[in-house]
Amino acid sequence: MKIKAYIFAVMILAMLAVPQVRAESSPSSEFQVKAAFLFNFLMFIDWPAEKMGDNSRPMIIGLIGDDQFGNAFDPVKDKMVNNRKVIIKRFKKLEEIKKLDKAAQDKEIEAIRGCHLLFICDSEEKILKEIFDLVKDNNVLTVADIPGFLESGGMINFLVEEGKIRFEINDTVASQTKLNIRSQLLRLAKRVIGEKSAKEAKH
Amino acid sequence: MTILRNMTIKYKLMTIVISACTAGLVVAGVAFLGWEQNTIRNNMVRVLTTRAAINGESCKAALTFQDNKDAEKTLQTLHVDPSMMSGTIYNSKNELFAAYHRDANNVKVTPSEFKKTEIAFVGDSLVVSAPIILDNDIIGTICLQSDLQMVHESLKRGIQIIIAVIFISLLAVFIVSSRLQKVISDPITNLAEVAKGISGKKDYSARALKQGDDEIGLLIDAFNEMLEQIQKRDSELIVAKQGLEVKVEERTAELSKANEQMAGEITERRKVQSEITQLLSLHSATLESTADGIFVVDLSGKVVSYNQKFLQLWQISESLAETKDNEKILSSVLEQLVRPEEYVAEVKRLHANPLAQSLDILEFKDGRVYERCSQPQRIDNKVVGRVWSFRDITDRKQAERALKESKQMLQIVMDNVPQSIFWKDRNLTYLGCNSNFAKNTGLAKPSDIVGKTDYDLMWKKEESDSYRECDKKVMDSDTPQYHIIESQQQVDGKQAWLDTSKIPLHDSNGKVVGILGAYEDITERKKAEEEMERLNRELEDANQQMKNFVYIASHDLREPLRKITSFGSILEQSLKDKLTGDDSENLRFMIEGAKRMNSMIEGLLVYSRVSSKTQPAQLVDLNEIVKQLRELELSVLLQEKQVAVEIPQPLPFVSADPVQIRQLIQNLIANGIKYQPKGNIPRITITSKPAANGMVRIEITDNGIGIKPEYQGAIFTMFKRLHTRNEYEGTGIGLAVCKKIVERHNGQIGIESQEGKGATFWFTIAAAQKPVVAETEVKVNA
Repeated sequence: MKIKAYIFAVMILAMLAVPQVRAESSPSSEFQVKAAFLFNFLMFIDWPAEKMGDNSRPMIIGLIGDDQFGNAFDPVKDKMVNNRKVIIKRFKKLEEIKKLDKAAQDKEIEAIRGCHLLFICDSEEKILKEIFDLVKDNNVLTVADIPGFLESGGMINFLVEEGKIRFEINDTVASQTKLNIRSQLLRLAKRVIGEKSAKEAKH
Repeated sequence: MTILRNMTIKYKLMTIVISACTAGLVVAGVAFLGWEQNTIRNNMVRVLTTRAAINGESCKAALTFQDNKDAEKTLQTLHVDPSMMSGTIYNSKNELFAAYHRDANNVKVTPSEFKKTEIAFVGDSLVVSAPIILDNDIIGTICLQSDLQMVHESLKRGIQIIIAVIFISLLAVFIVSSRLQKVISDPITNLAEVAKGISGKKDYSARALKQGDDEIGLLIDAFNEMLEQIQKRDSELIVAKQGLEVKVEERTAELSKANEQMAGEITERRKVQSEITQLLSLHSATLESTADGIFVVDLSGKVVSYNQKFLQLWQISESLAETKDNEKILSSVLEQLVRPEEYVAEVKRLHANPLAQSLDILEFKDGRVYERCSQPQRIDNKVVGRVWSFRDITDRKQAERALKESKQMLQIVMDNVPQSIFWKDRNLTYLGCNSNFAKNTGLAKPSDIVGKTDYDLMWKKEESDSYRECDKKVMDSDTPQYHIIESQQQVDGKQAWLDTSKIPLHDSNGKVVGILGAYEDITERKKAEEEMERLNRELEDANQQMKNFVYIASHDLREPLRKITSFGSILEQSLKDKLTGDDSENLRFMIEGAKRMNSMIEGLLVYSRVSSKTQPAQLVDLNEIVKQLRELELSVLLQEKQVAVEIPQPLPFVSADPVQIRQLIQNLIANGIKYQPKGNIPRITITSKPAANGMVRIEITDNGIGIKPEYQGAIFTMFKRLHTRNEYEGTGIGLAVCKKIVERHNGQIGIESQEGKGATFWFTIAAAQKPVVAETEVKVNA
């Protein structure tokens, strides 16, 4: 009896320990790369001048939903992009924002619209459309890690190929939102929607 | 160059022209090539730098998003230029990110420093590396490598062209110069031929032909002018030659005359020379033969001369001396001196004063002493230098010091002995004295005596006469006189007694040259001696009187005592029955008392007789003495007490007064018998043994009561008794008599005893001179 109890205890401990290690290490390095990519997108995409304002205004990266970045932004926290500061803003799920009173809700939505880049987390997969409508006409670059994101009307979607983080671009939507994605970036994309831009990039 | 020098002018000119042209063309060609190479290289660098910038720009996004395949694709475009060997991109961590290589086996080139612009020619290639900058951040490094094929080809082509140009140019130069050189070479050749003709034929009338007005034309003019002058001189020379011959003859005659004069002068000079040489050798021999060190300097202080003695005494090496450096020599000299500063001061003083002379003493650290003498050196009454001489006076100084020390020692001795000491010369004049003598004669110090005679001193004239008389006798007879007792008047007027000794003084030849006297004031001693003599005399008188008194007294005292004894006895006899009670006893006490007194007086008589009446010593047989004592004086006592007197070994003969020695032994035996415990049978043993200084020791041992050690010293004292009369009878005179007798025979007496264990009385006495005779007599007596 005693031996059985002992083995049982060890097994429980092993089960507890292993997933913890995985949960901590693997996503963190993956999200660190993704965080770096988000920063780098800022350098290869041009926003219209009215969105940028003067040089003292920072560029804002917004994260909406239950994000898994954790402290992945720490390595790039103090980096400047085009001589501007970069601010990371985290937003609650849209669902929760809607539960707020009117004033707070408006304030949050205004903040979301003010972002240059909005990363939409997996938790918002079901309400992508709603978010797109929210930021429409505000020159916001939408990024996600959701299959079929481009087809839903997103602009840049992350995917993993041969263990590396890659991305795909819907240049058509970006152009409609008056965002100019540079050819250098387009050339690196795994897939580009919007034939004209893609062809330009390839040649 | 020599080849060029011997060429004809024609070839010379052509060679010069062609060489100059070749040199010019070669320099121009090399300069052109260098400039072209430099240009090509600069172009290459510029092209490669631009290419690196373009490629870097293209790869920015790929680097940012870590898409190395895209970067490689970009680099692949380099293959368009076949000179590109490789292109590599490194990420921000300096890790290889993407690469392109023209040939698979190319050596990979990495920039020596990442993230910096760098241009380097490595081996046979050009390497350019540049940082890739995105938004102010260096995100990587691009490095391009190109070969130098183009440079090499351009160099090859350039050289070919230059060689061709040089060749064609030279051909043209040769043709032109061979025509033009004639303008210069022809007139010179012509001139040379004319000159050759003149020198061969000596015909100065020929002239060269002038062709132009250039430098060669001038030369020909000058040449013709010269020929004319030579022609003129030639004729003048012939006239002058004839005049010269006459002059030469005259001059020769003058010269031979002067020559004769010169020969005379030379002979004279040689003579002087040899004299000088002789003088010099004499000078140098003198210099070396003297015992003094000699050193000569001129007025400027330069060394002129010195001898070996000088070098030895100052320990100057030959090599140092040869430098003739006065300063160096001086410094080595100073090191050896006790007081170098005085030496220097003297040298300076004399240097400043060339006429001065000096004489001083130098002390060396090693104890040597030198006398330094300095004289100016004069030539024709003019001072030209200075001669220093150094004489070794170490021995003299030491002797002086030793003499001084010994004199001091002598003075100390003389001043500290109790005697007064003086010495005079043969004429009895004082030469010196010690401090005691000076004090005695009232002089302040000993040296004041010098030159004085006895008459100058304060003692009486007759005393002085007698002293001088005695001094003369000692000197004339050359015999010392000791302990002359004489009187002398003292400073304070008192008369003193002196004990004087005088000895004659000799010079080194043994001749008497003076007298030394020493005396002691014995006034006190003499007084004491006189006092002692007087006391002795008084004591002797007193002693004699005492002896007489004792003898008379004891003799006269006995007569009334005898009357008391004899009449007492008669009275006792007659009253024998009539006396009652105490009366009879009282009477007997009286008689006994008188008897005892008699015996005491008798003892005293004996004692005084020992002192006063002594017979001369004679040979005495102790055995005989003991025998007679047994039979006569002690027979009653011995029988009464049953005494055994034993003589284990025969006794020796002694040299003594027989009466006194008999008394001595009798007393000692009687003493041994007397002090016995009650009821003990006395036993007396007499033994002898030799003692020091020709004495024998006689021991008389008893078995009596003995004596405590503390009383042993007192028993030989007159009237000393250790016991009451009731215990043991005695007068207390017996042992005192014994002591007296032994002392009169120059012997010693003593006792060895312990209480209750008997006693041994011993005495020493002179042994007989003839022991053999004694022994035979002993045998007979035994």
